[in-house]
Amino acid sequence: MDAEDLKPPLEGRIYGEVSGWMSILGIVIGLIGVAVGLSGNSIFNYSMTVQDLLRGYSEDVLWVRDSSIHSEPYGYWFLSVAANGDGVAMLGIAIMIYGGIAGMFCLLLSMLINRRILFYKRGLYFLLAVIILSVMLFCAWEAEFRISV
Amino acid sequence: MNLMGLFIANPLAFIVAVFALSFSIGFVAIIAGTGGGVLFTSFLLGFTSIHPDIVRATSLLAAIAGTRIGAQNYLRSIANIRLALLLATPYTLFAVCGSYFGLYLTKHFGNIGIGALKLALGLIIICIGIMYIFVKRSEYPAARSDAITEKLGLEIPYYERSLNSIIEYKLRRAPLALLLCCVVGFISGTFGLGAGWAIVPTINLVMLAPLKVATTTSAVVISIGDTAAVFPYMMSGSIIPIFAIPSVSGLMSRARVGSSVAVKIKAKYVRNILTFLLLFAGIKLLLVGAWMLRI
Repeated sequence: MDAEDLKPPLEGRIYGEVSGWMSILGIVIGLIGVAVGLSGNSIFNYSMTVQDLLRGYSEDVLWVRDSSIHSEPYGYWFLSVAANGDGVAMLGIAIMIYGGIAGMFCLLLSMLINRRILFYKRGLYFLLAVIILSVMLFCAWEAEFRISV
Repeated sequence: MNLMGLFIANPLAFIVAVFALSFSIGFVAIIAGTGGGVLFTSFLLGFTSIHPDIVRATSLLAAIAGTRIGAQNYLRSIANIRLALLLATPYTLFAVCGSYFGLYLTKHFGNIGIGALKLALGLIIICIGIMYIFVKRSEYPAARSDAITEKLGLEIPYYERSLNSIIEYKLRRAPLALLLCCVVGFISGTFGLGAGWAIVPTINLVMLAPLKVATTTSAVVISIGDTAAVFPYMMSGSIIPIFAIPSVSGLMSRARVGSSVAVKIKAKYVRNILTFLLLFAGIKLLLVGAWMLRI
C-alpha cells in the first residue's frame, strides 16, 4: 500500500464538504442579516436588547420586551420575517445548523450507492448513520411542533 | 459613559466587543490545542450576567461551526469517519438529553437552577483545568486490538506527511469509549460546552489511537453530535442573532489566524495560561453558584 492508495472514505469526505460549506454560507448570511438589522430593519430594538442581555434577562423576557412581536418565538419564526435583518440572520444560523443534517443525509446516500460501504460490517455504520440522522430530524421536527420543556 | 452605556447607545460597539472577545478566547484556545467552547462558556457565565440559556446556545453554535470547518479539512486526510460515527451515536443521544435537562433546570427552578448549573459547571471547569495539567497525551500509542473492537473494523490507515510513512494503528476498549461518550455528550448538551477536552483523551488514551487521529476525529464527533443538541435551544428562542452571530464568527475566524501563529509560539506557555484561565473561571463560577444557592 502506498500513499496514493490511501484515499479517505468517500462518505466522510462528502459529510465534511456539505456540512462545512453550508456552515460557511450560513455564517455569511447571518453577518448580512446583522448588518441589515443594524440599519434599522430589525425585529429587536437593539439598544434595549443589549441592555436586557447584559442585565441577565432570560430569552423569554428579551422576546416579550425587546422584539416587535412581543411574544416568545414559535418554531421557525424567522421564515415569516425573512425580509427583516433578524429574520435573515436567523435564517443564516438555521442554514448552518441544517448543514449537519444535509451532510448526514448525503453521507447516507453515498453509502447507499456503494454496496461495499453499505454492507461493511453487516451494515453497522449505515445503521449508526441512520440513527444519528433520525435523532437530528426528530429534533428539527420538534423545533416546530414543540415539546414543552 | 461606562461600558454598558456605550453598548446601549451604540449596538455596533457591542457587536464589535463580542466579536473581539470571542476571537481572543478562540485564539488562546487554538494555540493551546483545544476548542474555544469551554473557555467561552465559563467566562461568559462566570464574569457576565448574560442568561445561561443564551450563553449555552451560542456556545453550542460556535462549537458546531468551528468543528465543521475543521472536519471539512480533516475528513480529506486523517479523521476516521467510522470511529466518528460510532462515538457520535451515544454522544448525540445524550447531548440532546443534556440540552433538555439544562433548559429544564433554568426554566423550572429559576435562580436555584441557574445557581446549581453554575456550581456544577465550576466544578467541571476546575476538573478540566486539572486534567490539562496532569494528563499527558500520547503521539503514537502502541496498541493491540481487543476482540470486540477488532470486530468493529474501525481502523483506517493514513499517510503521515511529517514521517513520510503510512500509519496503521489498532484501537481497543470501544465499549468503555462508548460509555464515556454518553457522559461527555450529556455534559456538553447541559452546559453548552464543546467536548474536545474529553473526546480527544477518550480516543487517544482509552482507545489508544494516534494523537492526530484523536484530535481530528473528535472535531467530527462534536460537529455531528452538537447539531442535534442545539435544536432545543433554538426552539426555546435562546439564539439571539445580535449576540450569536458575532460570537460564532469570532470563534470561527480565530482558527485561521491562530493556527498560523501557533507554530511560532511555545504552546506550553499558552497551555499554562489556558489552565490558569480555566481554574480562575471555574473558581469564580463556584463562588457565583454557591452565592446563588446561598450555600
